[in-house]
Amino acid sequence: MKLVVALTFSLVLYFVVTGKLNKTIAAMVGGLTLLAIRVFPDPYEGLKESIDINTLLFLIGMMIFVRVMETSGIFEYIAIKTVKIAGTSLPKLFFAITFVVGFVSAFIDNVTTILIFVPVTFAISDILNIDPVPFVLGEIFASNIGGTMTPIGDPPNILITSAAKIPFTEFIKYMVPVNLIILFLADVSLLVTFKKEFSRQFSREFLEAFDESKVVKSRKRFVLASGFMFFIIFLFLLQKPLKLESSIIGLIAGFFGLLIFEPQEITPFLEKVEWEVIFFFLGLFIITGAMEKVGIMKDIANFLVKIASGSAVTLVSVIVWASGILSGFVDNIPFAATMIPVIKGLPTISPQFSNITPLWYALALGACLGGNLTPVGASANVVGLTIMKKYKGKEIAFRSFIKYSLVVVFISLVMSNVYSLILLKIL
Amino acid sequence: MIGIVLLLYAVAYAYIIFLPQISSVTTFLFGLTSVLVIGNFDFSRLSLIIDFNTLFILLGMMTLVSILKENGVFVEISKIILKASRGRVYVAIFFIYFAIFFLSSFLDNVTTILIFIPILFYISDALQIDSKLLLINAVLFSNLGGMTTAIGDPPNIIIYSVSRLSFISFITHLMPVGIALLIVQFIFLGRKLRAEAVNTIFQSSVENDTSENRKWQYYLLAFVFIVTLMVFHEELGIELGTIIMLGAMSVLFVEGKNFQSVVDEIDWDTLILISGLYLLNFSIEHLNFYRPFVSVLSKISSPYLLVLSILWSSIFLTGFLSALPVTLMYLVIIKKLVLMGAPNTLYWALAIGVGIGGNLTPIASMCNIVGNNLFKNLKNERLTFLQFTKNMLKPVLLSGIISSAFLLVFSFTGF
Repeated sequence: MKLVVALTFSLVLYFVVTGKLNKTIAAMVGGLTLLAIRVFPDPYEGLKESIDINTLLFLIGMMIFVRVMETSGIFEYIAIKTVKIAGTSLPKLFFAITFVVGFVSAFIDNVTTILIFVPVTFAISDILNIDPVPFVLGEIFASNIGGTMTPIGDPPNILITSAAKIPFTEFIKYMVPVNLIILFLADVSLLVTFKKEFSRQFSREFLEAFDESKVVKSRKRFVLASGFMFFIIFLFLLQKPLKLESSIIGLIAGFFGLLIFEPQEITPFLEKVEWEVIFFFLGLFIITGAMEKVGIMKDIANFLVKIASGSAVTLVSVIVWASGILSGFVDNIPFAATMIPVIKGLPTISPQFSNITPLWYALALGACLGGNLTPVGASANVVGLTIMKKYKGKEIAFRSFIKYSLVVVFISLVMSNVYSLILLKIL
Repeated sequence: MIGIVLLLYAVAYAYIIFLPQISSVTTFLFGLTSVLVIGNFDFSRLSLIIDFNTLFILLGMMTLVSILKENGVFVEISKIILKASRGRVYVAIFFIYFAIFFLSSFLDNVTTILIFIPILFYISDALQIDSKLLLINAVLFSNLGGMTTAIGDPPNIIIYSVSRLSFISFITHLMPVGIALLIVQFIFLGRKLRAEAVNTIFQSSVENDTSENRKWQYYLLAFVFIVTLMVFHEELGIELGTIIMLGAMSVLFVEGKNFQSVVDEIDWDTLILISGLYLLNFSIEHLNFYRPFVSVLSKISSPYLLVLSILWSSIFLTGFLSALPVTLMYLVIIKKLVLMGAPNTLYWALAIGVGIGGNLTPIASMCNIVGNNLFKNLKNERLTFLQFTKNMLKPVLLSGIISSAFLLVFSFTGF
């Protein structure tokens, strides 16, 4: 049985990496097959136990929320404001945009952030007559780094915080500072790489030509949407004292938003949810649930423990680097989903790993930041590069992407490694 | 606390009845709020409330229907029907009703309505038959067909998931009832149609259609194979939800399609509505709201009376509250009663009651609403609430009486 489950997992992984078949369908067929061949003694119970419905509901809610908010023009408004404030020099503008991207994608889906900011970037690059490539790359990196900062920024974090039951505020307390530093260093490394492109200056009048009020179609709606967005962020901040599960806030955000702003369009908005992603998770949950059931997770955990040879310091480093490099090639979601039960099971294997909290942060850092490594490492990369090819005709090959990303990821992982070791001491 | 939950329940139902367009989302939010209100609930256990088997069956069936539709299976079936009737109107109409009944028993009722009502209207136009009569009967047969199997319509899917009776036992109990109702209804319909004097031959363009496309047969075959697996699901030890979902995904897999291609065809509203109803029901069950009902009903000493009261009350309640809410409400009670030793016949009574009651008013089931909309779009007419109910009352009462007889036999023989 172990072999069958492992084989199913590798097959699904193969399809995901090569993209030969639709990954959702591959994952669903794999997962359901495991149910059908009765990996779980009672498939019905197995299903219930493997599926993390919190994550699924949270994603559904947030996807609807972002779609609804989009219609108010609030995202474009933020983008144009940034350009105006950032002023006259390109490096300054670059820092401003990437930090805003980082901030926004800390709260909403990275892909959505990219979808909003890349078109704005093109508009800017057209007017200023500059090369959009460094900006798009910077935005992609920033979106992944920013996503690492909060439990809701990147899917692996959703999975990790949901499994480890780390509260929102606690998570950002430890993750924001380190990632701000990483983001800064990543920006610096891109500035150095693209020194020539960043050497131009612009006048103030020129920037004033942008009109942020134009993107707001209905003022009333804009104000209402901003209020609602602050309310949702507020809920996330008060999550711990209110004892609210992330999924509930996500559902409130999505469904209430839908009722308030688009009551006539409920069905179309429901169809706009990335169901493909939701069902990919669903299939994956079943597969990883099965892997846990037959004991594969325990084997991996044992392997990691053996490598670490009893030293928590080594284990943390192994997690950071292994997850960072692997999730550069493999979707970081399955990887995180695979590792979660492993880490969860560690204390039962060996007593010196009783404090697993730092390991959760090490996993989050590695899995999210590693996504920057290749063009397929994260969805934001795929989307950003696709748009650039479609609208600007500029294609960045696998190898040249890595040329830019390698330094960024290396810095990120070194920082993460050091930081995780610090957490090991203080947590 | 029970007051708040009941209030949420009532408001949620008010939305379902009066504002059905947004009721899926409101029901879900009210359900979520009710679970929050009762408190102390570990949300990681949410999957224990929202039943994945139900959702998988619905989702899988919707996917399969969209695949079958896309590959022209339904068009081909209606072509075959028209060809086989050789232009005899009488025969064509009955063949179509037959198809509606049996396709609805395995597929979504709304889909079958959408396919066949335009054809019926075409016939009624050509021969001046009362289109209202044809519409009403189409809706009726679709609802009755849906009642006959575990996957025929959403209420049955839910009853299956909760009762965990097998696919086979659904068919063996409900199909005979359905067929009896079908036959009786055919006799009445035959009289009416004769009164309209239609023995004429009509020409249809289909007969000259010689386009050959064999691909649809493979899809039909795949579907029949999946249904066969369902029949043996108990022996295989696999849940229906797993079989259907795996079947649907495998077809997409073989076709090399992606999941996004079927997303638009899936009725997300229904799925969310059902999840919301599950949540509402969980909290109300948690507070033991149904206990007085259960104890009153368990005092009914005669099993015959119990079965009949469930049948008839669910028929009339469904007419006004629509099928899904009634099903879930009753299931909570019936599950308790069966645990206390009542026979499984109660489940059949509920399935039949909800199936028949779904005909009573134009809002009682989805296919009534869709049928009426089609009527408006294609013929520019519309059945009012009263007209619809007036036309349906007789068949509904008749069906109720016939199935009462069946249920009494079930109770008597312990079948």
